[in-house]
Order: sequence, then structure tokens, then C-alpha cells
Amino acid sequence: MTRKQRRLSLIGIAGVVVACAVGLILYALTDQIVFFQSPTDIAEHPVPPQQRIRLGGLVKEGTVVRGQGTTVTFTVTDTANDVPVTFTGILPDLFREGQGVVVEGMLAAGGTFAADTVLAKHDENYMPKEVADSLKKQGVWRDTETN
Amino acid sequence: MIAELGHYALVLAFALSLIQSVLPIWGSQRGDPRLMAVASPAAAAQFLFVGLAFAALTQAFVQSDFSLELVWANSHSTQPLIYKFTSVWGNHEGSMLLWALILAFFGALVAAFGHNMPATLKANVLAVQGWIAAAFLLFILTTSNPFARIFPAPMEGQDLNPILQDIGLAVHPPLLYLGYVGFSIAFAFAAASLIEGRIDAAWARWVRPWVLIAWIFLTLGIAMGSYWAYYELGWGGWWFWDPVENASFMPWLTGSALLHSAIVMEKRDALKVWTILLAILTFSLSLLGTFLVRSGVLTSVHSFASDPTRGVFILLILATFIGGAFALFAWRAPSLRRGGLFAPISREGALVFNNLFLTAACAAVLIGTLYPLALEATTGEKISVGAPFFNMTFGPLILPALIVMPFGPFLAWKRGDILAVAQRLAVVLGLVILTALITAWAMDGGPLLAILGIALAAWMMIGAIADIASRIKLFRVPAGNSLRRAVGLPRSAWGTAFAHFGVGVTVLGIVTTSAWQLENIRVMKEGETATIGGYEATFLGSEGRAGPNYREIAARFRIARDGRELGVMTPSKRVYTARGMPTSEAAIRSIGFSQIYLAIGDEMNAGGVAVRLYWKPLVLLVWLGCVVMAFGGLLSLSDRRLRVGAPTRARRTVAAAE
Amino acid sequence: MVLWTLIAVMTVVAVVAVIVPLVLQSGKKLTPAAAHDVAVYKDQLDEVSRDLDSGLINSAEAEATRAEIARRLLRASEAEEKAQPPKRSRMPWAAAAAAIVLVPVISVALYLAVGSPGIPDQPLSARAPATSPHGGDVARLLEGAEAYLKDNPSDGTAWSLVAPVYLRVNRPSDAVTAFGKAIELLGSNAKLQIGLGESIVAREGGKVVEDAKAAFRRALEHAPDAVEPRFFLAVALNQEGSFKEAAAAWEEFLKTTDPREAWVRFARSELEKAQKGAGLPVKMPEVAAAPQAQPQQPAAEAPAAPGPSADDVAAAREMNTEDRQSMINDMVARLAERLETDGGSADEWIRLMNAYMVLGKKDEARQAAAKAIAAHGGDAAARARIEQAAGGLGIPL
Repeated sequence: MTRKQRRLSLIGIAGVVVACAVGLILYALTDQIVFFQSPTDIAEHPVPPQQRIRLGGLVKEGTVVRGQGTTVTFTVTDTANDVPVTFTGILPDLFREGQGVVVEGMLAAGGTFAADTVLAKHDENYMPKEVADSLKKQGVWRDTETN
Repeated sequence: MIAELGHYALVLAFALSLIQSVLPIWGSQRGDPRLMAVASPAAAAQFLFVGLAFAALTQAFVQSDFSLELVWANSHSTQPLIYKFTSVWGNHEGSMLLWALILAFFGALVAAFGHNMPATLKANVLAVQGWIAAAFLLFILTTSNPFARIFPAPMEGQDLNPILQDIGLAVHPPLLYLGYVGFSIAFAFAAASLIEGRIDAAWARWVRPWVLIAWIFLTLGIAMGSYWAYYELGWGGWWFWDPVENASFMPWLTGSALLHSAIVMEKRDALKVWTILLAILTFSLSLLGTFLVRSGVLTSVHSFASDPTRGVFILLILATFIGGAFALFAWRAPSLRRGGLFAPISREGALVFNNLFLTAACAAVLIGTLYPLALEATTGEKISVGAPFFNMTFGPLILPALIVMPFGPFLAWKRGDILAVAQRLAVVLGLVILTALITAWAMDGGPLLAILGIALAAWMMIGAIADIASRIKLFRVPAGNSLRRAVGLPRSAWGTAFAHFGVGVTVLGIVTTSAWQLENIRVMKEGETATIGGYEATFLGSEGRAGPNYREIAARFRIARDGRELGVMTPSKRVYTARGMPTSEAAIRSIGFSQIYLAIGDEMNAGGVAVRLYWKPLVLLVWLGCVVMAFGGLLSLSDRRLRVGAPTRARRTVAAAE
Repeated sequence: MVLWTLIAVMTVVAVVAVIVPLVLQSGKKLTPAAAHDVAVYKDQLDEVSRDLDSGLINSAEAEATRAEIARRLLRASEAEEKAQPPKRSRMPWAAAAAAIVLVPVISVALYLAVGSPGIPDQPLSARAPATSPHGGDVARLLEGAEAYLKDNPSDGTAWSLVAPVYLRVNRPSDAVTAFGKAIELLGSNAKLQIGLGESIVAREGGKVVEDAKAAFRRALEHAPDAVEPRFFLAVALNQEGSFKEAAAAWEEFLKTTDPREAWVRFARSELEKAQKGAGLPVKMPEVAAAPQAQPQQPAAEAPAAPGPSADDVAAAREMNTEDRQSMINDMVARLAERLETDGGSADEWIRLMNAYMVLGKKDEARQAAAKAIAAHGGDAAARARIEQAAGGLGIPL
């Protein structure tokens, strides 16, 4: 092989790798991402039942019910609309009524959201950003953090 | 007064960094040795003064001097002493000061140990380091001043965020920063060589120890952070593909690539432009990580405060340094003398292969991290890119690099003989297949992917051992002879073997934990027993306890296997009184390299508590592998070859074979 | 003085570090960069020999590698010969002069802009005795109280005494518990319910949550005129975004409250926020005639504060420290200005003296006392009151 051919073959191999990487990334981006929705989004544009989504809002006061075993049901609200949620497992430390929460899972038949992951805030001043934004839209929540 | 002296020291360090930014580079352009000589003492003095500032702040935290706003907001007089120390960097301002301190520390190290480099290179490196220091000190002084005062001092502080009150946090940020900031030296070398317009094999030798140091610390820092998340967040997960984790992982990937490409550059005088580019990229990713974490673009436990002016300032630093470096690169790179080309089947070919896949994998992580931000900024649509995305892209892209890894050290420089290497590795392959079969038999089949994963880990580990075995001609010459060879083998060869072995260990831990982890979540009442992985956990009851600045409810579990008691585990739920914030403290018991992991949740209305039990087989290997990798790096760093380069000391005969 | 001496020493160290090499390094021989390359390449040649000896490479490979390294070595040696000797110039003197001037100027100027040289260190050990009203250590008092309550958990009065202390030392969760215990044991009353509500608000970082609202509502049942419950309930309405209701509540609140009280300023800004939020025109209500209102004081003018009283703290808790500090300083400054230009009653002068003492401004307090006595020179009773107050505050006359 001449110098030029070698250089070209090297660039060719690199190109193939880059093409594979780009293809993988693009495919994964269409398939593996999870959209964030608020209860109002779901009410306005129903999502297909088998699509994974993240649902964010406030845990409605007085709706947390611990059922059999470690199954818990509660309602996520953005004050305009509500979505009932069921979850089996241990809730995070900072899960509280009236506080922000993000749940991930799928919408089951009958409008109940079956969550497999529940994320609450990391500390008392932290509101999941998506939740804060969607609540701001509803005019519910204002920045109260001072530090 | 001590606080104000610290404040003044910080200002003085800034003034010195300005001098350090200008005089040495002026000297190197004019060829004036005296101006260039300013660089070293200026860098040393800068380190001294930033160190004084940091000491003053530490003293304020230890003595609970709440007349400093930062101390008041992040500390409490009842905190145990150790957390008063860690509070220093458990907040935005303090951690930026730590950043600057480490930057100055590396500058001082170059000044002290850089005597084997050409004077112009050293002057330019320190000048570039001065620019970075000036930018960050100005950032600290204008937007995040740790020495802001309150008068009169409040009675009591606000306490440190409870999940940060942990020994893991005491070491995680300093290690991570040593890594992040260490790459600034590689960046400074790259920029300096571009300014000078000359770069050659010797450059690679000088830059390599700095890259190695940064890489070692970053490896340990990432491992520490991962272990901290594992036991402190109470979810039992050790990697979440969280943007903040990705921010530290990306420079690690390009840093590892840089480590390897610098070898090619030194040995074969090739890949020069690519190596320079990698050095710039790695530090750019470190800066990007600092920006993502510090600006509040991402909300997470790491973004202590989101202040828009800070975000804009860091973005400016980011744009200036990355933009400036790439502009310099675009201007100078074409004029650098091109290096040689080589055959694809050779040691350098294998290293290029490694670089290609490491950077491609890094690109996948970068896109997955930034895509949600970009999408939200442009369309307002909110998405989350989670583990599935990264598993699907990062996994396949890193896999080829892992598979090829054992071939690399066996291949000769210039032109390797793939068949000869394959013959040598045939024994290894045999052992790997045997391992896989034994695993499959022991695990009653098990998922095919997991068996393949075990095989991959075994391939890397046995491959690394085989590399050493073949170098010392184990079993081919008498044992004593082999031992002598082993002692005489260059440390960098041992370093390579250890680091590659460590990668295998980590992969083994990841595979076993992911494939054979057991999970049992249930409500337990007193006296009940749950089983996990052949172990029985009996709930003995719970009790309230008081700590120095928290209260907790601790649940006691007796752990037994086949009726034989192994001990008591006490997971707890704490409430930190100053902030009224609850946290979970998981209880972990190591059995060999495996662990039982217990965490408790809420008390149930019907009585009993929710309990989460995990059996994590060989989970410790995930982090142990990182420690082995870092040890390999350390061995490589101790290789005498890295200290050669000064004309007067060149008579040393040093053996080194890669 | 010590501070500035040490600052001077540090500056000298910094300047010396920069100028020493400029002055001393008179022209040491500079090794050309290529000489370093030569050293590295020679070392690489040695390495090849070692590899060959240990059998890691064969002789053909070794020869090829040697040839390559030799080519590089040759190139580097040529460069070494061509390297130009370093230039000498007079520039270092200019640079040294610049360093001597610039380092101190930049650092002192920047420090004066951002630093606070007048504020002493206040470590816990030095601060604790001074800040307690009784000269004792609050932390130690609390420890004693906690030990007592551990043995006598059913002493409701003790709980009610320790609860406000918890709130003051920023342990709101403990305050919530203590107020709760006191209410359980002593029965509900307005003061305890208000304390409970405030503690919950403090614990939630300023957010008036449902539990706090319930406590304030219970307090109103006991004392319909109490200020704090109405204040916090109005805050809650704003936080929830019920701006219309909030606007009405704030208007009502401002109508019935003494305009000189500390919270009025905050209340007015909250009202403005509510009115904006509800889309109403921003309009401040007529303020109720305050008892002892001075004729020369326009009713709507913002009032002055007598320093951080408990109510002040409640109002100011919503703000961060800097805002709070500057709010208090503002109010004191405005009071002082008004008294000096327009004059005022003995009570107002005493309030100003008191405010200065709380802020630790002894000199200003003494001046205020002198001015007050001068202003009331003809009024023996007022003068006696001022002198008595000054004595009580520890102001030397």
C-alpha cells in the first residue's frame, strides 16, 4: 500500500466507526428517550398506553394510601388536572404530600399511571426542574428558595 | 482578622496570576530567560496564597465563625468536627476555592518538577496555567466570594445538606477535582506547544506524567462518587447515567484515550495533531462538567445554588478557553510537522483503534447528556435520556475496545504479526471458554448475555496476566530466571497489565451485580424473617437514637445463614434537626466481595416497616477494579523513563518496553 | 493595624517572588529546546538495546527502530546547533518596575472593593457569651432544658418556654415538636398556635404549608385580632397564587395595623405582588390612624423600625441575610434622618437609640442621645425619660 492508500484506509475505518456511532445514537434517541408530561398534558393529549413517560406534579394532599404490602397509591396534580398513580416499592425519603414529585412508568388502562420509579427532590429546597416549570405555567409555584 | 487575611491572600493570588499570565510568555517570545524565569516563583507564590485563603476558610468553618455568610449557610455548631472540615467544600463557593487551590497546586508542581523541560515550553505552560487561574480567581472574587461577611454574626448556622454529611463526600470532590484540574496541565502543554509551533516526541514524554496523575485521581474520584451514591442515596444503584456523573465520565474517556495516544506519539512520532486535540478536548470536557454542575443548568444534589450570573460567567470562561484553544489549534495545527504513518496491524494500530472507540463512546455520552438541554432550549419539549439510551449506545461502542484490549500489549510496534499474537492468546481463549462454561454450569445456565459478559471480563483479566507471563517467559525458562525478568521488567509494563486487569475486574463486578442481583421489597413486622440470596434477615425491632445533629430510628435485623448467626445490621432513617430533612442510611454487610444491602422505608399504617433487601454478588469488584486501574497508573507513573528529558541527566540507561 | 501590617508583609512576599528572578537570573545559559529532544531520543536508543537484550524484540525489529530514532536524533541535533543564543534586553527592568507597582495596586484596590477589613472574626467560642441576653451560653441553657425535659416530659410549661428558644437558634423542627408538646399538655392558646405556625414556616424554608395554615387558623379562633396569623395566612394566599384573595387580605391587614410596625413594608410589597398577580391596578390602601401618630408624619410614609424585634424577624425571615440587614439599616437611617430634620417625640428618639445599640453602633447611639437631649432641652420630663432610657441601654452620656 502506498502512503496515500494507508492514510485513506485509516480515514475510511474511522469514518465507518463514526457512522456506526451516529446511527446508534440516532436510533436510540428516537426509541429510548422518555418524555416529560404534566397531568394537564396527559388530559389534553392522551398518550398511548404502552409508552413510557415521566409524569411530574405535586402529590395531592390527603391522597396517599398505603395498600397491601408495599403498594402505594397517590394522586399527582398540577392543580388543573389529576392523575392517579400506583407504585410498589419504597418511596424516597423526601416524598411528602403537597410536595413535588416525578414518577416514571406507563399509563395503564382506566387512566391510572403505573409507576416503577418515584423521584422526589434531593433536599428541601430542590424542586425537580421539570415540575417547577410546569407548575409555574399553572401559576402554582413561585421561587421561594433564598440560598 | 484571619478571615480577612484569607480574603486578601485570594486577591493577591489573583494579582500574581495576572503577572504569571503575561511575563513568561512575553519572555518566551523574545527569548529572554529572565522574563521566563518569573513563571516558577509566581506559580509557587500563587499556590502559597490560595493555600492561605483556603486555610483561613477552613479555620472559619472549624470555629463556626458565622460572621462569614458561607459558614453560616453551610455549617452548624453541633456538627462533628470532620463535617466542619468537609463543609468547606460542600457548597458552591468553597468548592470553587478548592478548584482554584488544586489548579495552583498543579502549577506549583510543574514549577518544581519541570526542570527537565525546555525553558520556553515551561514558561508557556505556566503562562497558560496563569490564564486559567486568573479566570477562575476572578470568577470566585466577583460572583462566588467565600469571604462575604455578615455583621453581627447570627446565632446558629443553617447546617450542611444532610446527604452531604458523609465521609464519602470528604474525599470524593477533592479526588475528582484533582482529576479534572489535572487535565488543565495537559491543556496548558497543548496550548503552549501550539503557541511555540513545535511539537515532537519529547513533548509526549513530558506531558504523560501529568495526564497519568490526573487520570489516576479522576479514576478514584469517579469510583468514590459512585460508591457514595450507592450507600448514601439508599437506592442500591451505583451508576445512574445522571448528567453530573456523565460530566466526570466524559473527561475520563478522552483522558484514557489521551494516555494511549501520547504513547504512540512518543514512540512513533505519529498522531501528534490528534494528541494535541485530545488534550484540548479533555480539559474542555472538564470545564463543561464544571459548567453543567455549577451553573444550575441541571438541578441535582450537586448544584448548590443556581445563580444566573455565575452560569453566564462560567459559560464565558468555557467559551473563551475552548473557543480560544480551538482557534489556536485551527491556526497552528496545519503548520506542525506531520508524523509518520503506520500499518493497521501493529501496537500503534491497536492504540488508534482504542482511541477511536473511546472517543466515539464519549461522543455518545456527550450527546445523551446535552440533547435534553438542547431540545428544551430549542423546542421547549422536556425529555429525559436515561440508562436505556446509554446502554444501547455506549455499550456497543466501548465493547470493541474492550475485546481488542488484550491484543494491544502483545503486538509489536511498526508491524505486528496478528497470527503470532493469536497463537499466543489461544491459551488465554481456552481458559476464558473454560471459565464461561464453569460459570454457566454453576449458575444453572443463567442469561446468555451475562455468561458472555463473564467471558469478556475473564478475557481481559487473563489477557493481562498472559502479557506479563509472556514477557517474563514464565514456564519457558527456569522459575528463578522468570523472577529476575519480572523484577527487571519496566514499571510501565506492570502498570499496563494492572490497569488492564483492573478494567476486567470492574467489568466482572458490573456483570455479576447486574445479572444476579436479588431484590426483596416487603413490609416486615417485628419477629418476621425475610430471606435474600440464602441469608435470613430477622426484624428484631426498632429504636430511636440521637446523634450530634440528627435523630434517627434504627431498625435492627439479625442476619443468619443456615441458622448460624452472622451479626446484626441496623439500617436507619434520620432526620437532621437544623433543616428538618429526612435521609435513609442503608446498612451494608460485605461477605467476600459480595454485599447484603438493607434499607428501610416508611412505617406502614397497618404496622411494620417497608424493608428493601438486596443481595449484590461481587459488587465490591466494581470499585475495586477502579482501585486496581489507579494502582496500575501509579506504577506507570513511577517508571523512570518519565523523568528522562533533561540534557544533563540523559546518560541514564533505562530499560523500558511497552 | 495588625491586619494591615500582615497584608503589607504578604504583598512584599508576592512582589519579591516576581522580581527576584528578574534581578538575579543575570543571564544563565539557556539550553535550546532541541537539546532536550536529543536527550529523549538517546534514551530511546538505549531502550531498544535493552529490549533486544531481553528478547522482547528481534534484531531486525531493533535495527528498523534504531534507524528511525536515529533519523529523528539527527534532525534534533541539527536544530540544536541552529538554535540562537538567548537575547538579553533591558525589558526585565521595566517588567520588574511594573510588578512592583501593579501587584500591590491591583490587590489592594480589589480588596478594598470586595473585602470588609473592619469586621473582626467571630468564632463560636468568642461569640456565644456575648449574644445571650443573660450573659450565659444559650446552647448550654438549652442542654439543661433538654435534660430536664427528658426526665419531665409532661411539663407543658417547660415545653412552652423552650420552644421559642429553639426557633430563635434556628432549630425549627425541634421548635415544632416543642410547641406541639406544649399545646398537647397546656391546651391550645393563641400564643402557642402562632409559635407552632411560625416554626412550621421556618422549617419549610418560608413556605406557609397546610399544617402552618391550620395552626394560624386555630390561633385566630382564640384571638381574632392577632397580627401574625393574619400576616402569614395572607402570605400563604400569595404563595398559592390566589392573588385576588391575597390582595383583599393584605388590604384588610394594612388597614388594621399600626403603620409604624416593622412588617408594614413587607406587607405593602406583598400587596403589590398580589395586585399585579391578580391583574388589579397597584394601589395602596389608606392606613388606619395609628395611635400617637405624629402630625408631621404623612400617614402613608413607610415607618421606622426599632431594630429587630421578634415580629421583625418573622417578617424578615422571608428575605436573605443581606436583604434583611439592609432593610433594617435602611429603616434606622430613615428614622434618624426624619428626627434630625423634622424633630420628633422623646419616644421616637429613644427608639432610635435602642436601634443603634442593637446594631452595635455605640457612637451613633451616644450622638443620638445627645441630640435627643438637645431637642428636648426645654421639656424636663422628656429629658429625664431620655436620660433614664440611655442609662438602661448602657449608653454613656
